[in-house]
Amino acid sequence: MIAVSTTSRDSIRMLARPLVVSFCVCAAIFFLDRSSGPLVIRSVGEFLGYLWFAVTLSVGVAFVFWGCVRGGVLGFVGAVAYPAVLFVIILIELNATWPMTRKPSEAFVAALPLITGVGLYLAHRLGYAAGIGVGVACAGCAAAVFALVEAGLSAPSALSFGGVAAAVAYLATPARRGTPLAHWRTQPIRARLTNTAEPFEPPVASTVASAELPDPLGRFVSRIVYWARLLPSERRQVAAELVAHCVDGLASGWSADDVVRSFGDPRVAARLIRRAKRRCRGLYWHAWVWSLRAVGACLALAVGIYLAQGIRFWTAVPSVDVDYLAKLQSVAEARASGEPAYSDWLELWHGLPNASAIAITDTRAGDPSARDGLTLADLDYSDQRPEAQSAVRAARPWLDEVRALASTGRGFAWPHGLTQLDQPEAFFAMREARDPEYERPSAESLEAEGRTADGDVFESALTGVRLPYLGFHRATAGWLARDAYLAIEEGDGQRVAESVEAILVVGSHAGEFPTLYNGSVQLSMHRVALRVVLDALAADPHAFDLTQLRRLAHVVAPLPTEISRWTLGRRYMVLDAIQRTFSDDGSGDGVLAPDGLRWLSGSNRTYVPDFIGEPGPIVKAVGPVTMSLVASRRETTELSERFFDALDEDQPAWDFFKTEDIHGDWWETRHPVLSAILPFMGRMRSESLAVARDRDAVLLAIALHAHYVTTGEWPRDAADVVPRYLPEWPRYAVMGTPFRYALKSAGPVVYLDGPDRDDDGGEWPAKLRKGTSEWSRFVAPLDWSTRGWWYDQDRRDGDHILWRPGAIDPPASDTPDFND
Amino acid sequence: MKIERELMRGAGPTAVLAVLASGERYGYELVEHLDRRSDGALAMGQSTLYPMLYNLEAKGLIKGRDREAPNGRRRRYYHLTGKGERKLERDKQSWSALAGAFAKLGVLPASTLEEGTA
Repeated sequence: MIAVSTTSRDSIRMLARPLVVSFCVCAAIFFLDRSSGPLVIRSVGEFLGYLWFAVTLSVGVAFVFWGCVRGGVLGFVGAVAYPAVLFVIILIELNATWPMTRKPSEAFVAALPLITGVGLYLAHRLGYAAGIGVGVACAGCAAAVFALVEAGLSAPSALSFGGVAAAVAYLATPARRGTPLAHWRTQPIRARLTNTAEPFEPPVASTVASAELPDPLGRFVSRIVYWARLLPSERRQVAAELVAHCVDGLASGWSADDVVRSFGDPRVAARLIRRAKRRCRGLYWHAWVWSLRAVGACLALAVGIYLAQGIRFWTAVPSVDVDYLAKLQSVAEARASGEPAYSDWLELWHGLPNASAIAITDTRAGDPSARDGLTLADLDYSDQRPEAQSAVRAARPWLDEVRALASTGRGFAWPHGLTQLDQPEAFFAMREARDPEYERPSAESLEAEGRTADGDVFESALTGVRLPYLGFHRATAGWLARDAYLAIEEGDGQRVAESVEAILVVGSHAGEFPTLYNGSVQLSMHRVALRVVLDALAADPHAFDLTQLRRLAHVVAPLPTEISRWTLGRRYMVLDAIQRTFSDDGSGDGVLAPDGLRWLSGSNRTYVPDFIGEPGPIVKAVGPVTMSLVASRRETTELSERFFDALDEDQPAWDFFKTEDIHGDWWETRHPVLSAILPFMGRMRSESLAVARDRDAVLLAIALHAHYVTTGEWPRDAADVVPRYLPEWPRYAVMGTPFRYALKSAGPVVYLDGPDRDDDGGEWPAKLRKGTSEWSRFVAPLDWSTRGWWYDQDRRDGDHILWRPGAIDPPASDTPDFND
Repeated sequence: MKIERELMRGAGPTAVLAVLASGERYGYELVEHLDRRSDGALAMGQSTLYPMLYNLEAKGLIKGRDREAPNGRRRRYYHLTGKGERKLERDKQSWSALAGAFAKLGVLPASTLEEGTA
């Protein structure tokens, strides 16, 4: 007989293994559910989280029942704890005003098993002071994990913490034998929950001992009962009955051996007794067993499906049949007129002045160090520092060459390549000439970046296309804009006009290749050019003569603003990724291939946990699951085609997303290729609308100037300029209202309706303080997104002034407040 | 003479029910009674008896209860339930019909047929 005492050590021991399981499961869920993990694994983690939640919920409900019915007063108190915790969690999830983010609530859910364990423990092991202490410690551990994860502890660290804590709990409980968990086979969960277990006193041994049977018979009975693996109450009853049988046999004059012999095979008896006793058990027990069997069957089914899907997944091979880069290149070449000029531009960029000569101090960020570079966003008419003007004057010979090359009308026609090596030789020569420290890329350096070798299909993916010229285009446009502003100061309208035209040409070069990157650069350059024209017209009504005004109008009027001009590249990138990610069954359909999963995991670092590095066994193991979750090749292709068709028809991307119900983790799981590549286009569309607005403002300002130059007076109304100087009066596409024009004593004003959506006579809103978020919203481009919420939120009086002579709008930085 | 196992599997429960119809008994008594009344033909090993009792109990045909035996020891006595009595009646009719059929076939003596139809 095993002697076991009901010490606190046993109590701790009782909870040690559930602690191990709880910590491991919680840590695993934290690990899998962290946002830094790959999406597919996060989905699996989320599923496991829900599964775990369901299990704990079931346990909790069962506990509530048994706690109320069998657990006594304190059991009832413990039973209340679980629904109370659940209630809090539901409150957190449902109450949008709850001051907690979703993440803490998820951590709380994940910690639920531990809290449930505390409740179960308190209910089941009432009366043991040490048990309550362990319960409190358990809750403390749950709170600690919760706090650590919320404090920003990384997933691996949380995992380590869980493991260490579990190991400590395990090692701190040395009473290995004789604990209830050591007897799990003979004292099942049901007996524990119903308080019918005899955790510290094996029943058979005591029954046999009290009957004082001869040793062979005692062992015989004990074996049968042990092998029968019955519930404690059953064991006690069967043992008593067999002991009585043996006693009667001995009383009849049989020897112990005769009794044993007449009984038959003890293993057969144990098996038959077990079978018969199981039939005697109640509905609850049978429901539990069948539930377990159902779970087992589901698991077996899941394994079968996994293996079947695994065969499909591991044998899937993508095939690259279409050269989308060549298609895009042909589109770009068709847009480039005349002889390709890229080599001449490369030659010219040998002399591109160093932008550090006119470095801007980033006072906005509070950084006193000079930024090494000139971005288009830095351009400001008010910035006429002597050192900047000197640098621009020094660069003027080079800028004259730029303007001359831009005026040839030749297209850029850059030969695009997919790796750093696939660039024109002249480009490397230019880089080396400009920067002595520049290192020409080599096969070895590319390999170090993981972009070569093993010949996988993603080495030549279109998403890797290189656009090394865009930075030089930006820098060139920046210098041209600087020179244009200096020309405005000097009253040199001809140079202003030539600079503006050159900026527009450089921008169109950048936008030849039909990708969104190129389009974004072109639009931003065009906005700079248009802003220069508006500022020049505002600074001096006589800045341009009629010929220059006409030429500027003809250059500005056809500026493209529709983003469909650049969506083709992204469409091809998606289609190219699809053909490299999915297998092809010959009819346009296929499944996710291992190479595709590797690319999805490797192309975007956010899809892979940092410590995994290259996609490892976890990613590979979940491959069949991922393949089952991911949409097929056909579905992905059709959805992407619908998306780009909608964009080409000028349907806003978010309207399409809303129509297609494209949002949330499930959509990202189902369409990983699209979620990684599909553009949301918000900024792009805002930029295009802003360019269209500024273009129309420039054309209107030119028309007003033309009237002024011709007659010596500003137009009184639209009739004075339409149709003589302007074919039609422009309208603002976002709000659908016409541009406003007012002739005041100080001069004309061109403006748009402000937040209150009515004409306030061309005045900025009162008390609009520069630098505030209100100012940013108001003066920033009135893009599409503002229509939805800002105009509904802010109804103040005032207009958005686009242009007025004698003032630079938006107001200069030295004007802190308006009408304040 | 011992009954073959397959035959005993069908006859055993009915025999136990029949013995218990005369009054409640505990396991060892049942073994002894069956052995004695059937001249050993229906003697069954204890390894078979107790699972059989538990099966009958699971089906609700018999019910066991612990009480003190005349010798002062505690024993688990089994008695027929109402359901068990009805089952025993049905079994008797089945066995009678079977015995009659066997008599007509000459497997059993003709006296058996008369007893079965009486």
